[in-house]
Amino acid sequence: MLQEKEIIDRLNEIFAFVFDDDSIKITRATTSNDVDGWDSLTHVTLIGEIEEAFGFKFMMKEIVGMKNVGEMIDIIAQRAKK
Amino acid sequence: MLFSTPNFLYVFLPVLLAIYWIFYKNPGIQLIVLTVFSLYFYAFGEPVYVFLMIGLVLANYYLGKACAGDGESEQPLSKKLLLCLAVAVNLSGLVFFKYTNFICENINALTGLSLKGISLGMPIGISFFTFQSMSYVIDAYRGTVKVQKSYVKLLLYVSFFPQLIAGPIVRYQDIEEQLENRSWSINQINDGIFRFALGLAKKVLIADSCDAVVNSLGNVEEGTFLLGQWMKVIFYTLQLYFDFSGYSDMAIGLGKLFGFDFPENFNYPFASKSITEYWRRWHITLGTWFKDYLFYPVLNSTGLKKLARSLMKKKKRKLARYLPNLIALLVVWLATGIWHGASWNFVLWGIYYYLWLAADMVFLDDFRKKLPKIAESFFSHGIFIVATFFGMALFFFEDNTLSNLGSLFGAGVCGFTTTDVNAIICQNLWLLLAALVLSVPTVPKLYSMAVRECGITPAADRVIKTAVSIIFLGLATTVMVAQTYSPFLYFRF
Repeated sequence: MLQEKEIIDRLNEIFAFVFDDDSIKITRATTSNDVDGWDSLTHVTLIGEIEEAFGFKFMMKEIVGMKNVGEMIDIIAQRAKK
Repeated sequence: MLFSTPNFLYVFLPVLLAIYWIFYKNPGIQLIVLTVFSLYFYAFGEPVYVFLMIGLVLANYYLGKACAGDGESEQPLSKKLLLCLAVAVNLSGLVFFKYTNFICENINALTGLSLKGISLGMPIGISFFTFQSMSYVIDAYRGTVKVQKSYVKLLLYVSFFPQLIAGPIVRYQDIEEQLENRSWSINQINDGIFRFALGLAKKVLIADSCDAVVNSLGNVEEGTFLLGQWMKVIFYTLQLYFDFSGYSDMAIGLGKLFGFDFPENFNYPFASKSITEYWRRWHITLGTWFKDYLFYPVLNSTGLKKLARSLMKKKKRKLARYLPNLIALLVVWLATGIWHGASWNFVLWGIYYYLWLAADMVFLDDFRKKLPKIAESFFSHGIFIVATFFGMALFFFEDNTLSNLGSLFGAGVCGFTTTDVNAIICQNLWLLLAALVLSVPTVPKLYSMAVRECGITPAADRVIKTAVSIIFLGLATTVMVAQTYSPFLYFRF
């Protein structure tokens, strides 16, 4: 199982790439309101990048149900394959 | 059986309510009573196809059990295949009855063959109960609902008469708990009766009157006139809204009488500022159905995610943002179009709305936000009214669509207006004004203002609503008795 610190670091890189902002700093409490450009339209791009990076697939109810980065980290911690 | 007939209102409903409440201490028997009466309600109009529905629910009952997931882990291939089978079983009935002839006609036109098609009528409400069955089986697969162990409860979920024929498209999770336990209170019954009476009045007093105007405008003997054509579309738009939202009100009201809470289906769509908002307020349950079971699955499909990734790699951020969403939206709107009817003009109608939604997504929304407030309001409502008007015209002019659309711009008409057209409009000016005022939330706003300013107590509020219910039921009954058959528009879908 991946360590939380490692997941956050790798996620941070993905967020920086998807939202084109190198100064981005995500925490467990980060929501879509805190990140410029994270809306329903970019969500699919973000999900696609995360799935590719960690080698697993989110389920539909997770994709539409995740409330913050914390929940995202928990799912990744459980299911990541790389 | 129609809600707006004396038979339903003064025989079927009171008898059912009496039996239902006799067994108020035994929810199990209540469910059986509701199921039997619902099947009778359907069999009254469809004595043969009622068995199709019973069989379809049986298939979903077993397939739901077989493909159910826990919602925690990814499903194995066998369950994925079972889900595909379930979706195929559900869609096969719909496709066979609704689209066989359309498919044959198109194959014939393309290949010169002469396939005959079928001469069976479409089972009433099939588009609605198929979607309800599918939502159950997909949710069971996704693990978002528990598998229903009782066949009767699943049958009641699909066949429950208030929502069986023209929606709202109730999701299994909406009434999952109420199939087990239902609350009951005088307030809930009062609300139910008020809601039903409101819906009945919308249908019988307004929608049917608008229908009469549309018909008489269509029967003007001197030919087609510009004003007449515009008025036809306007009255038809109002008819469709009051007919369909009235039906939903009646369904929701009836649900309350039996302790069920159905989802809302309309939220004053004509008060919208954009087509995107309009489709969140009109036929809401169909929109959310397509969003959850078609839009998200397509958007999150491997293909579209790969597309987004490859665009990101090429630094085409804007395309990566919009293109996958635009593709998923197109799939949804082709499906929404064809869901409404097996003909090309419904496909055209779907594409028409798709273009507006795509424009909202890509630039119109951003543009609106940049305008000063007053200009934004005028611009938004103006564009919205024009867009809806032509959308409705596409829906209304099912035959000779293009020449009829042309006539709205004066092509091929005999003139601006004539005495007959003027007479019809003058006679129905009050109806037009009343319907326009009631199609936006004027009355609820005024009433809540009155409640605040004049201090109307909850008790007084109940008395007012009861009085209004009695007046509406009385007026509607008088009209119903005098009237002949008046079907609901959404029955044909």
